[in-house]
Amino acid sequence: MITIDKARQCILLHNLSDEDIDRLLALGHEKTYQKGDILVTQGKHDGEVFVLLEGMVQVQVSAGGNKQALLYLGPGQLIGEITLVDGGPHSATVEVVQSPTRVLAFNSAELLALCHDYPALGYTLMRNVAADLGFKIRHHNLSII
Amino acid sequence: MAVYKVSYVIPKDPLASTILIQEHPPEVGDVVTLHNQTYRVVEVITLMPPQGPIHFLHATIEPITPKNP
Repeated sequence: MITIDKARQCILLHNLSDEDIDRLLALGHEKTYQKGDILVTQGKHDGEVFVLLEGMVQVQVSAGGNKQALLYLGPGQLIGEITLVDGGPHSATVEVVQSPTRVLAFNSAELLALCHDYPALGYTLMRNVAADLGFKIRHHNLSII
Repeated sequence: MAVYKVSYVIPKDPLASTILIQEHPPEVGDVVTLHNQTYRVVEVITLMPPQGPIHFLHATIEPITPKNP
C-alpha cells in the first residue's frame, strides 16, 4: 500500500491535496512483475498508465525490424503517460529488468474522467505529466550529444 | 522533504542512461552503481526549475575501470 508521503515523491502526484491524492490512488491497482515481463508494448492501445513503485524497467523502441533500448527508469517514474495525453497507442515497449518490480496501474479513461469531475485536480495532473515529459525530452537531448 | 529526479547519462553509452529519484543530489566525484557497473559523476546540472520539493538534475557519469579508477 503506497503512502501519501511516498506518493508525493512521484511527479504525477505533486502539488495535489491529500484528498486528491486519495482520489487518484483509489483508481490505481498494485501489480507485481518479474524480470523479462513486458509492462507496455509499443503500438498497443490499452490505455494503461503506470507509476513505478519498486524495481527497474527498460524503455525500448522498434522500427523497421530494429529494436533499440532508450533508457532505464527507476521507482517514482511514470510509464505510458503519452497515451494519457494524446489517446494514442504506446510509443515504446517497456520491459521489466529487475525482480520484483511493483507498479501502480491506472486506466487512462478513468483518470480522464476524474480530471473531468475534478477540474483543479485535472489541471494539476496534466501539468505534472507535462513536466515529466519535459524532463524526459531534456534528458534525451543531453543523452544524444 | 526535497527529492531529486536525476537523469544519469554516460556519453559513450547513451543506451544505458537512467532516470532515478533519490533523496540526495548527486555531486561531482560521487561514485554511483547502476546496472552492476560503477560510475563516477563528472558533471551535475539543473535540468529545469524545481516543482515544489522535486528537483530535476542531470548527471554525466563515466565508467570506473582499472584504466580509469
